[in-house]
Amino acid sequence: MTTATELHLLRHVPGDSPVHRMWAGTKLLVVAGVGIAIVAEPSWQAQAVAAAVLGAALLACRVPLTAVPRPPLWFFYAIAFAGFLALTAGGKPEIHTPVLSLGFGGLIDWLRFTTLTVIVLAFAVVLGWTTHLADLGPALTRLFAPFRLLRLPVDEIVAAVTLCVRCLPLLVDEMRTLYAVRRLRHPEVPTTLRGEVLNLHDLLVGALVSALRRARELADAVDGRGGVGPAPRLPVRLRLPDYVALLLTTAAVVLIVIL
Amino acid sequence: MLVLDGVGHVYSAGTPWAHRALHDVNLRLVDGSRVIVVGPNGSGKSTLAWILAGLLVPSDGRVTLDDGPLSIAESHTAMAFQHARLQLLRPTVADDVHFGLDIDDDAVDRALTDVGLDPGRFRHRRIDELSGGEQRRVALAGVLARKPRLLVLDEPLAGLDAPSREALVQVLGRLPRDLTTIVVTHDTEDAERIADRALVLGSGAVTADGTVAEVLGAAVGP
Repeated sequence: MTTATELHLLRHVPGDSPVHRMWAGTKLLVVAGVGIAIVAEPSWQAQAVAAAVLGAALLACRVPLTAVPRPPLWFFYAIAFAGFLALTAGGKPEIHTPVLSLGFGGLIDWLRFTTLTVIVLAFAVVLGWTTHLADLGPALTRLFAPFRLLRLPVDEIVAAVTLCVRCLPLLVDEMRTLYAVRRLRHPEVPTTLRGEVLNLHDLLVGALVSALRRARELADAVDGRGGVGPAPRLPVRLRLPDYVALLLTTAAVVLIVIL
Repeated sequence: MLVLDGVGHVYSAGTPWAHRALHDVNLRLVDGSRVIVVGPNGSGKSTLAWILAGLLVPSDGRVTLDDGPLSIAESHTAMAFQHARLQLLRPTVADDVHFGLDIDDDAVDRALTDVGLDPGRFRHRRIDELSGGEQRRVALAGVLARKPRLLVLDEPLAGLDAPSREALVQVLGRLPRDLTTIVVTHDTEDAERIADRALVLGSGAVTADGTVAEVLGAAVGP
C-alpha cells in the first residue's frame, strides 16, 4: 500500500499574528507590489530586497515550519536538470581550462529566475497561510473599485477570481480521486516512456473532463441564482500592521527601482 | 479473511492541519461478507473506505488479508467511487471495461451483463451519452471484471432516480457470493437487500456493529 498524496494549496493556518489580522487587500497589495517590482527588475539586489520583506512576513506570521510545502524528490531532480541544461547554454562569465571551457551565463540566469520564482511563490504561500479564501472576494472588490470608472466588469472579474480560488480544493480532491482510480484500475507501474506518457494522458484527460464538468455545473448554479450579482462591499478597517506593511512595501518597491 | 487491527488515521500528520479521522477500528471480515458502513458526515467513512481499498496507509494499526498485506498491485481490492464519471477513463463502454485488463470481448460482455446492461445496446455507446445510473453500472462492470476479493462502494445509490436505484440495488444483490463487499453510505433504505452486517461510525470510531436488523432496525424496519 502507498499513501495518498495530500496537497495543501492556499490552505489557511489558524493563528493570531499581525499578518493574520491584516486586511486581505493589504496582503494582496504587498504580494502584487513586490511581485511586479521584482519581475520588472529581476536583479540580485532587487531579489535581496524582496527576500528581506518575505523574511519579515515569515517571522511576523508565526506559522510553524511544519506548514512549509514539501515537494516530491522528482521536483528537485527536474529543477537540477533544468540547471544542467542552462549550464550547457554557456555565456559569460567563462572559465577556461586545458581540457574544458565552461560558460556560466546561462546557469546564473537560470539561478536568478529560479530564486525569483521561489520568492514570488513564497509570498503567495504566506498569503494562503494567513488569509481565509472567503476574505479575498470582498478585498478584490475594494481594490478593483477604481476600474469601475473605466467601465470594466469588476463584479464579473471578482466573481471569476473568487470562484477559481474556491474551486481549488475541489480540483485537488478530484485529482486525488482520479489518481486513486488510475492506481486501482491499472496498478502496474509503467516501465517505459510510452507507458509513462499514456499514464499522464489518462490523468490529464480525466482532469480536463472533470474540470469542464465542474465549470458547467458551477455556471448552471450561478445562472440559477440569477447571475453573479454585485460583489460584496464590506467595510475596510486598516490597523497598525496594515500601515506598517504598506510602508515597508512602498520602501521595498522604491529600493528595487533605485537599485 | 480481512482483518483490521487497531486501525487509525491522521491526515496531514506533523503539519498544522493534522486531523484525526479514524481511531482504533478493529474488524474481522470473512470472505463473502457484506457490510454496510453508515455514519454522519466527518465520521470517518470515506477514510475507512480508502484504507480498505488499499489507497491509504493507516497511521496506526494494520490491515491484513489472509495474514498478508493488502495489495492493489495483486488486485485484491477494487473501489467504485461516488462520482462514476471520474472512474471512466475511456471513451466507450467496452473500451472502459477493457481498460487495464487482458480480457477478451466475451468477458467484457459478461461483465456488462452482470451489472444489468445489455452488451448489444451498450458495448459501443459513448460514456458521455450514458445516464448517471448507467455510468455507475459501467464503472462497476470495470471493477468487477478485475475479479477483486474485496469491493468497496462509496455512496453507490446517491443521486439516482428510483428506477436506476432499483436496478443498482438488484445488481448489488447479485454480486458473487465469495466477494467481500463494503458499502459506505448515508442511505439505509435498502440496507437489508445489499448487506448482512452494519457498522456505524461516529467521530472516527465504531459505535455499533451487528446485523443490519440489529443496528439499523429502526431505520429499515416497517
